[in-house]
Amino acid sequence: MSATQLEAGNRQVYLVDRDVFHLAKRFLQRQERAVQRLQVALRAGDFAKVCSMGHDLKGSGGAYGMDKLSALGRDLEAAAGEKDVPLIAALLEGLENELSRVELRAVTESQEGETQSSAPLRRGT
Amino acid sequence: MRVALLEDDPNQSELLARWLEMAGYRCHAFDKGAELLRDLERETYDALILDWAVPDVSGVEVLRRLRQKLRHHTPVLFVTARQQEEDIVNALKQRADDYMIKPARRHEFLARVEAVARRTRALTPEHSSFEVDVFRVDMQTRTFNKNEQPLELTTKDFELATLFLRDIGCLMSRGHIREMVWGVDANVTSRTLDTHVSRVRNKLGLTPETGWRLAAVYRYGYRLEQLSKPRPNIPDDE
Repeated sequence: MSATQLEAGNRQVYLVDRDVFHLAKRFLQRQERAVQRLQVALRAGDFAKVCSMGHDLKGSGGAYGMDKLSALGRDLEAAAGEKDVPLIAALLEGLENELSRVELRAVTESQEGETQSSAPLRRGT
Repeated sequence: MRVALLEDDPNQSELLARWLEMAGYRCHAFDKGAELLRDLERETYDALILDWAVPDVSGVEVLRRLRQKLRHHTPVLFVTARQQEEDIVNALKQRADDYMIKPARRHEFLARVEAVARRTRALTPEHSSFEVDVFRVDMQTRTFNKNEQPLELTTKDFELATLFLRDIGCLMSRGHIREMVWGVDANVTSRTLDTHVSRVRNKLGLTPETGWRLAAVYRYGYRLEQLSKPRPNIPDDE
C-alpha cells in the first residue's frame, strides 16, 4: 500500500511513502484537472469517456492507497455504464469535495500505519 | 533485471515504475501495445508487465503475438482491473505466467514480478554465487574460475560473462546487454560491445569444441548456447 489514511477533522490525511510522495501529489493534481474533463464529458453525453476515466481513477486511487477516491472511480465507471446522468453529476460533486479535503504527509515506509509523520504537506505546495 | 511495463494510465505507470526502480529493476514503460510490440522486435527483457486495456493493441493481444510470432519466452505478469474468470483463463491460456488484479499493492506486486522471473527462467539471485559446467562464479569476491583455475577478467568482462551464464539459451538484445553491463546512461558503441563479447568468448573458451557457442544474432544481439556435446575442431578444408 502506498498510503495510510487518517481522518483529521474535515481533512482526509494520507500518509504517503516519501519515495513516492511526489507521484501522489502529481496524481492528485491530475485528478483536479480530470474533474473538469469529466464535467465536459458529462455535458457532451460522452459516457465512454466518463467510464474510462472512472476506471483509471479506480485503479490509480487504489494503487496510491486512496480508497475513497478509488471507490468514487468505481462508482463513476458503473454509473457511466448505466448512463445515469444525475448519479454521475452527484459523484463528480463528491469527487470534487473529496479532493478538496485531501492532505498528504510524507513518511518513511516504516511509519506507514503509524500516526507519527512529518509536518503536513498540502497538496500542490 | 530489466523489465518492460505496458500501462496507459500515467498515474499507475509512474507508480509501478518507481516501485520497480526502488527494488533495483530497470523499467522501460510503454503506454501503447503497438509501441511495445515494435520494441520487442529488437529488444529483450527479463519480464513483461502488461495491463489489459490499453489503446490500440490490448495487453492480451500483445501477449498472443509475442508467444506466436516473436522469439520471446519472456515471463509475463498481467496487472489489470479485469477480474472475470474468463479473462483470467484467457490470459493464462495465452501463456501469461501470472495474473494480478488491480489495485496493485507494492509488496505483492514486487513479489509476483520476482516470482515469475524466477519460476520461468530459473534466475539465480544477482548476488549469489553459481556454477555452470566448468565455470564457477563467486559474486561476493567477484572471482571467476574455469576448471577450478581463476580467470583474470576486467570488471565489464566479468559482468558480461555472468550475464550470459545466468541466462543460457536466451537471446539478448544489444540494448539489454548494454544496459545491464554498462548502465542506462552509458554511451557504448556496438564495436565496443562486440569487442568485449569477443574477449569473453576467447577468455572463457566459449566455442563448439568445448561444448559452448556464444552466437551473434544479426542486427539483434547475442545468445549463449550450451551444446549437447563438445564438437571436435575440424578445419573446413579437411
